Amino acid sequence: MMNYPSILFSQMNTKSTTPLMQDVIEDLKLDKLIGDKASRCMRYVCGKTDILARQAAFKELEDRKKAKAAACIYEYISDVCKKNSLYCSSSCVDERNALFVSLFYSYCKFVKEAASSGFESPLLSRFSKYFSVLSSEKEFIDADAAVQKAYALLGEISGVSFNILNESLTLTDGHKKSYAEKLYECADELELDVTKRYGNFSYALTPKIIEGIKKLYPSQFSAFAEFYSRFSGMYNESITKYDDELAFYISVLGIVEKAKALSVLFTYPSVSDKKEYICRNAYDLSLILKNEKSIVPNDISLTADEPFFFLTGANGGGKTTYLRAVGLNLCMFLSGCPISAEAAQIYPFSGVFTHFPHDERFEDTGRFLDEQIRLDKIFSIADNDGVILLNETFSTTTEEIALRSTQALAEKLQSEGKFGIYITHQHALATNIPSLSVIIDESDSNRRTYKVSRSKGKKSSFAGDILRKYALTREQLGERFGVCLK
Amino acid sequence: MKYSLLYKDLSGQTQPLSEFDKLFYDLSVDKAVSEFCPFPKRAAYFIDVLKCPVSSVDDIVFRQDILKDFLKSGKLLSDMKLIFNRYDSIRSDWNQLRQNVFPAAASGGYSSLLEYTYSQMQVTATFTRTIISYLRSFLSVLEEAELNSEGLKNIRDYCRTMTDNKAFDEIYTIASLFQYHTPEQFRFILHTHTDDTLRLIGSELTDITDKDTLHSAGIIKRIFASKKEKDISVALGDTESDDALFALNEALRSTADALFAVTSAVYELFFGISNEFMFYDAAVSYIRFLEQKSVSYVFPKMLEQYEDCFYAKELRDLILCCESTHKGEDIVPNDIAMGKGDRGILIRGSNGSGKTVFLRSVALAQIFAQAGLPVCADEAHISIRTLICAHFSSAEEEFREGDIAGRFEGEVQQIAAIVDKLKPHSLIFFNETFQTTSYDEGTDAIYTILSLLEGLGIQFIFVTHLTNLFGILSNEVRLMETDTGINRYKLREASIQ
Repeated sequence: MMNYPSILFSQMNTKSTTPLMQDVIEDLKLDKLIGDKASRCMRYVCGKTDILARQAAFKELEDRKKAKAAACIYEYISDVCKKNSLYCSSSCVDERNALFVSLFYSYCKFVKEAASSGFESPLLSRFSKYFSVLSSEKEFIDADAAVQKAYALLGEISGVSFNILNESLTLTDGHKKSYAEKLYECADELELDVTKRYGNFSYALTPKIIEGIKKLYPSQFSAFAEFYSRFSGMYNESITKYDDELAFYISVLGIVEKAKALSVLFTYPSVSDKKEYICRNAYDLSLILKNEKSIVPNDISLTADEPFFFLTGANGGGKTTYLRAVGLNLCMFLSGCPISAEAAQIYPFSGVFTHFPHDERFEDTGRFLDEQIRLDKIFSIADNDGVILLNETFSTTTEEIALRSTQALAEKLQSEGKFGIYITHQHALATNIPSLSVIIDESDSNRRTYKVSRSKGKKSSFAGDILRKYALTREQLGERFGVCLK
Repeated sequence: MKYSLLYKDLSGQTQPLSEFDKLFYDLSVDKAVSEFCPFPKRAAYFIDVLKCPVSSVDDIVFRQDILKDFLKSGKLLSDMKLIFNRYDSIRSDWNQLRQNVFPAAASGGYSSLLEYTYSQMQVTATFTRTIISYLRSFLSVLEEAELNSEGLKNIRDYCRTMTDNKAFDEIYTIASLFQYHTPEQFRFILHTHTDDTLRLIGSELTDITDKDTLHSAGIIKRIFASKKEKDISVALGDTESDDALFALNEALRSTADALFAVTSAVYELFFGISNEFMFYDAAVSYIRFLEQKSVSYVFPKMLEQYEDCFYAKELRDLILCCESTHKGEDIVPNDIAMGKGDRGILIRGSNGSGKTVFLRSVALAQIFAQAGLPVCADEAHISIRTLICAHFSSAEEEFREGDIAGRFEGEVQQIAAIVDKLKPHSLIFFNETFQTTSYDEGTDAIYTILSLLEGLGIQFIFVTHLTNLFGILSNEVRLMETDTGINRYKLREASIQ
């Protein structure tokens, strides 16, 4: 077993034992935001050492040249992964041998690119150096030279003619112009506006056909067999772990770049030694998925003195968005990523727990029961270092039960000193838990500001004469059109 | 590329302007059109074309010339209508047949998929040959007539070039290969491509020969006799048979896709023209109607936008022409001359003296001219307008009874909507605007709007009872009034007392 160095963890045993629940990934839309591979990596939150190490890696990859190198390495490892999967499921020896040539060719490209990447941050430089050493070994150099020759032979066997008559198939290596090509040439000749379309498929041939191709090209296939017997021992499929690990950096940086184009700010939070979660102007990145052009940021402040808040306000006012901003940025911080905020200092909490409304998952139980089961699961896992985010929990029952259950849950969380936020529509709660609310501008047709604050919006009135209302006064028209009106 | 009889270049085509709905209602365009074009679908299309004013002189001349060709030869118009109507209906037949093929593939498996693909290919091949034949018919109809218009000559010349080209014949020949039989009756040769993982990623048909031909020519014998030493025969079991069927299906599909793409590209060149004949049909009816009513008409000389010109001699109102009791000579014509540097015309007069009729006659002439149609006048020079807009004060009942502020606000809303669209070289018509508030307030408000129009280089014609405006604007715009005496309905220069 090769011991390829991780680019996510400084030591293997620093990986957290309890991953984030899949619900957290889905509730916060992390999977949709950065893809399955990267979100898989994010399920394992880091301690302070790895947070700082990853922050250093991200900072290095902000350099375009380095990002380009990482993207190139990722492309090669993805290719290795794809070919590895085909290689593992090859249907005959001839196919396996040919596939191994192709797989090893991609593997060598990966190793050489990784060796020349010249990364400097601790996690990435360890990776670069490892492959730099590997690629300079004579064994690798010989294998690389051999694979270049063998791979060229794959090109020689790529075109075969099928002559199909009744139940027989004859394979030949000739080639004639196809009808489709002729038709497209006619279209060009007639200057017709035609989009050329060719099939987009990938079909695994059966062993007998491969055997037929082998008979057409015997020397090439015997070269593949020889290559396999010499070099198969040099390949270990554990290399494929880099597919997820590189996807993590690349996907996160991709979303950061996309968000920056929408004027979203990013920062590397400082790792706080005291339990707190403080952010200035934090954004909900998932809004990018909705193509929101203007995302309203909000402050977050959870401290030991006030670790838990209710969040209330009008529908569509931005409560869930706020909660998601809190959760997403925390997950990103705990994975060592830059977060979408202006500035932040955050304690390395042990995990994030979310409880969002789920509509279609529980066919055997009622919704209320499902909510309780999910809550019990959270409490069974969450220690005192986790952050709990509740979104309209207990909104699926009668008002009386909802009020009682909400009150009990909130008091339990508060008494245990848990950090978190609880969105609720229950206004009659008798509790000393502080509240946040979304601000509505009542003076502007109840416009949603998407701002969250402890204060409530103030009423104001609107007045204007009809012409001013429609911007038809002399001054308004003059200013709008840049003309001097009499 | 796509041919059109309405647009020299289809990139200049626009959607009917929604703001014209109200304008056309105020001008009673639908009423006028229904007089000379009693067919609702044709009339609606004609009105839709009117709602897309053409913005270049070339495009208007393009339409005028085509209309003149059709006026000269009624046979050309009827022959082309017939053949292009049939041509446009091909698409629905084609789609219908393609849909009918689908159930054959329901049984699943590669062999039924192959049957489905081959049937699709046959349907497309049939239409390829049909469409190619139509182009030959277009050419024959157009070659029979003496053409002067660029639009019709372009179609004729293109059809001639296409049908003379060998590539056109080759498409026809390839389509003919798939006319008959089923896949089992052919020998196929495919060229396949594999990638660096030995996956089949491409398959193209390079030869298709029916077995009868092979037998009769003794080709089979020769194939096997001449089989190269290197050729490898593979006995097809069930799984290998799937490989061969898959490759064959993909090869046929690729050929069918190419044939479909080429056929569609040819078809699209002329598809949709049959609708455009509705416009020319209605236009010819319009002209015949004017002739019947002895109303003189003229194809206006169109000028560029920057000329800001509307000049017409003996201009008559089309709506009056359409009223059955009127003949051309019963309608009082008016002259109008508005050119570069003129801000606009202010018109006053007693009720029922013809102010609105005049306004309407100018607006209709501008709209018809910009659609490439003749106008009811002895002579006309009209420049293209970037925007034709009107505000007609609405009837009282559209607003809340007794709510003066509400009615005024409604007018302000409409003016604000016009202001949002203003562009230099527009022509704006106002009919009794802002008379729903006090005269002083109304005068002040409209004066601001008229000042804005001046600042933006936009001309207007304004019918109003806000007589203070005449004094305020006496040195800036042309003032006119209707004659109530012996020359009733005639407009004359107004004087300020």
